[in-house]
Amino acid sequence: MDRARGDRPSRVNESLGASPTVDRTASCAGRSAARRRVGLVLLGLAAFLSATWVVARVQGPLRAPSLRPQLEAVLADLDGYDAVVIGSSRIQRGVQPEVLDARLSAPGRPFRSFNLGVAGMKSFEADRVVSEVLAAGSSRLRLLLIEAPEWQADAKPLHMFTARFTDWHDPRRTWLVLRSIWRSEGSLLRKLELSWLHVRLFFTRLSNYGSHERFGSDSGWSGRVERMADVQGYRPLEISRGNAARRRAAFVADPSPYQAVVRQLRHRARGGALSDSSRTRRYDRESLRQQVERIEEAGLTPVYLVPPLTAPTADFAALAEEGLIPHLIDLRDPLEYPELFQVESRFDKEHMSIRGAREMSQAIAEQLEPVWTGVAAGDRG
Amino acid sequence: MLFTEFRFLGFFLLVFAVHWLLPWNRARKLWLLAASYSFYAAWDWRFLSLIVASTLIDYSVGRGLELTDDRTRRRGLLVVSLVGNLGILGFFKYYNFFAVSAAEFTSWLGLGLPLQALEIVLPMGISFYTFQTLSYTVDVYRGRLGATHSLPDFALFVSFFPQLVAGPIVRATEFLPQLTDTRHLADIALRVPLVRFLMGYVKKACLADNIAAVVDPVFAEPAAFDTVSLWLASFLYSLQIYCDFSGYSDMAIACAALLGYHLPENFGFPYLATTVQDYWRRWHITLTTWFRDYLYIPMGGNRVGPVRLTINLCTVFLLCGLWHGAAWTFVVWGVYHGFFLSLERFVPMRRLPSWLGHVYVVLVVSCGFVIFRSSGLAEAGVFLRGLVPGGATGAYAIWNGWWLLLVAFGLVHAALARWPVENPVRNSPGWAFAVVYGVVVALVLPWAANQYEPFIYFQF
Repeated sequence: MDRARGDRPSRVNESLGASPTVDRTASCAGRSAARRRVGLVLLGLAAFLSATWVVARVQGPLRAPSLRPQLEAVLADLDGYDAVVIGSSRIQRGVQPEVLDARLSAPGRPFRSFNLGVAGMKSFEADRVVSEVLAAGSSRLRLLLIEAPEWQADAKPLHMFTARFTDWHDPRRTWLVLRSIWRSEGSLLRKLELSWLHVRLFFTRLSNYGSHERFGSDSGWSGRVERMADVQGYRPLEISRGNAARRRAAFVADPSPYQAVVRQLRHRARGGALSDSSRTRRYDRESLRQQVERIEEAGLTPVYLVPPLTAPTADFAALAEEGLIPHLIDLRDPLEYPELFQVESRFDKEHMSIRGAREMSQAIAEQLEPVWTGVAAGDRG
Repeated sequence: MLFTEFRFLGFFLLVFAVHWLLPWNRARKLWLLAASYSFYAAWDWRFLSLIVASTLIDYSVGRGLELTDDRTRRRGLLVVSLVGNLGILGFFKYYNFFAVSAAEFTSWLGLGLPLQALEIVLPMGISFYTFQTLSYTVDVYRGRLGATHSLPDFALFVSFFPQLVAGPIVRATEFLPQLTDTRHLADIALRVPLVRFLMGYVKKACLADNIAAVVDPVFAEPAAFDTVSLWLASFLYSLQIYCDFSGYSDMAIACAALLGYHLPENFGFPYLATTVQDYWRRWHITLTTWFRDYLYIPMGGNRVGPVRLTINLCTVFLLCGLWHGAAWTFVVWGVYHGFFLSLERFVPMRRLPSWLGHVYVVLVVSCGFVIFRSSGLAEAGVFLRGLVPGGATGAYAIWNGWWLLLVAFGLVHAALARWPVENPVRNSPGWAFAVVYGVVVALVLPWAANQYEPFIYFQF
C-alpha cells in the first residue's frame, strides 16, 4: 500500500512537473521500495542456495555410468590397494594391474594396484577423482599414479554439457580453469568463450541442474562394480564392440598412417623435440603444485605418468627438473621404448592392445620399483 | 537461445534491467527492438533480413492503405502484402513439399516433372511472425485499425522477442496500443509472472523434455512395441506437446509481463474440454482465433448449409495442419480434426456426461497426435494399427510407472483450472514468497532434462 502511495505522485510529477518537495518524498518512497525489492531478491537467493546445498547433500556425489563401476569398486576396498592409477582411456587400456603387482610384490609385502582410468577423463575431472580417493582415506594406499595433466579447459562439444564434465566445476576448480584460460595464448574471443562456458557449468553444477538421475540410482550396479573389482579396473579394448571394433578394423587394415606418425616421432626424438615448448611455457604450474601438495599432505606419493603418445605434450621432464613433479615416468620416447610404438602393441592409434598394455605396464613397474622400495622402506622405518 | 537455457537468464536480466533503468518510453522501445533482433540473430543472423523485409512490406502497405480510399489500389496493396508475406513463407516452408509431391505425382502419371528439392533452412518462427504481420495489414485494410506511423513501434510488434519464435500470435490491435503508454516498474506485479515463468519452465524442462526421451524411441520404431506401450506413448506425447508448447507460452507471457506488456492467453486447460470444438477453444487459442477471423468467417462461418460447413471446416483445418508443417501427416491431422468438428455439428457430443466427454476428447486428440508426430503416413498407420488389441507386432514395453505421471498430471491440470495460483501468490507476504520461490526453484532444477531440447513449435 505504501509503495503504491509513494509511486503515484512520482508519475503525476513526471507529467505535470510538481514541486521539489513532493518529488523528494516520492523519490524517498521509490528508493525504499527499491531497497525492499533488492532485499527480497537477496532473501530468495539465500533460500535458493540453502536448498541447493541440501539437495546436493541428499543426492551425494555424481556417479556417471562411465565412471561409476571403477570408482565404486576402488572406494569400496581402498584398504585393499597400495597404488591407484588415475587417467584417461590411455591409462584404462594401457595399465595391467596384475603386471605391476607381480613385479612390485615382495615376500611378506604383497603389492596390489587398481586401474582407475576412465575414457575421456581429462585433468580437472581426474583431479576431482583424486580428491574423492584422498577423502575416502586408506591405511594401505601409498601411491597415486596420475596421467600427467595438461589442465585442458577445452573438450569435445559432445562432452561439454555431460554430467561428468559439469560435475568437476566446484568453486576451486572453476577458479583454476578460468585462471588457466586467461594465462593461455588463445585469442581474446576464445578466452571469453571458454570462460563463459565454464562459468555456465559452474552455475549448472551449483544449481544441481539436471541431476535427478542421481536420485535412486543405487540399483542395478552392484554386478558391474564387482566385475570391475575382479579385474582391478583393467578392461582391454579387445572386448569392446561398436565404434572401438570399427576403429580397430580400420587400423589393422591400413596401419601406414600410424607408422608414418611414429617415423616422424622418432625423427623428433632424435632431435630432442618430443615436447611442445609453447605448452611448457604456458603450463598451469599452480594447478599441478596444488595437486601434488594435497596428495603429499594426505601421506601419499604422487607419481606422474606420460603414456606413449604420438602427439606433442608439455615437457614434463622440464617440469620435474623445476621440482614440480616429484616422480615422473615418461614413456613418450619411441627410441627408448620402441616396443610400445609397434603396430602389434596398439589397438588403434591412441590405445594399447593387450600385448602393448603388458609391455607398458612392465615399463611402468620397472621405473616404479625404486619409488615403491623407498615408500615401503619409509613405512618400515 | 531457448528460454530454458542458462544464457537466456543472463540475456533477460540484462534486457530487464536496462529496460527499467531507461527513463524514456521511446528509448525503452528501441532497446527492446535491439534486444529482439539480437535474440533472433543468436539463432541465425542471416534470417533477420526476412523479418526486416516482412516489417518493411507491411509497414509500407499499412501507410499506403491509410493514404488512399481507392478500392482497387487498396486491394492491390493488400495483394502486395499477401504475396510478399506468403511468398516468403511459401518458399521457405512449402517449396520442397510441393515440389517433391508434384514430382512424385507427375512421375506417377508418367510425365516426370523435373522438380527437385532444394536445401532450404526453415527460418525459426516464420509462420508466427508472418501471421502477425498479415493480421495487421488485413485489419488496416478492413478499417478496424489505423496504420501505425512509427516504424520502430511496428518493428517491435513484429519482432518482440518473448513471442517472436513460437507465439502467442499477437494482433496489432492488442499490442500497438500498449506501446504508447509509459510503464512503471512499481505498477508491475512481478510475483505472478515469476510464478508463471517457473510453471512454464517445469512444463518444458522437467516434463516435456524428460517425456521426449521415452516417447521418441516409440515413434521411431512403433512396430517394436506392444499395444499398451503404444497407447501410453500416444498419451505421453499429448502431454509432451502440451507441456512443451504451453510451457513456452507461459514463459513468453511471463517475460512480456515482466517488461510491462500483456500478451494474449494461448491455452485454457485443453484436456479438460468435453468436445473437440471446446478443445480448439482452449488449444493454441491465438492461432485458432486467427483462422476463425481471417479465414473461417470470410468463408461464410456458421451461416452456411451443412455441406458447405463441412467443406469449410475441413479446408480451414487442412490449412491449419499445413501451417504446422509441410508434410502429409500435418495435412491428414488437420482434416482429421476438421472431420470431428463437422461431426459434432450433427452429433451432439456436448450431451455426453462430462467424464465421457473428457475421455472422448483425450482419445481423439491423442490419436490425432499420433498422425501429427509420426515421420510419415505409413509409420502413423503402423502405430494406429498397433493401438487396436492384437494389432501390435512388437514386444518391447515402456515402464508402466509413466501411467502414474499421466494420472498426476490430470489431477494437477484439473486443480489448477479450479484453483488458480494467482491469488495466493498475490496475497502472500513478500518474504514468504521470496523464500518459497527460492526453495521451489532449487527443488525443480534437478529434474530438468540434461540436454536442452528445442521447443517443438520452433519448427513451425
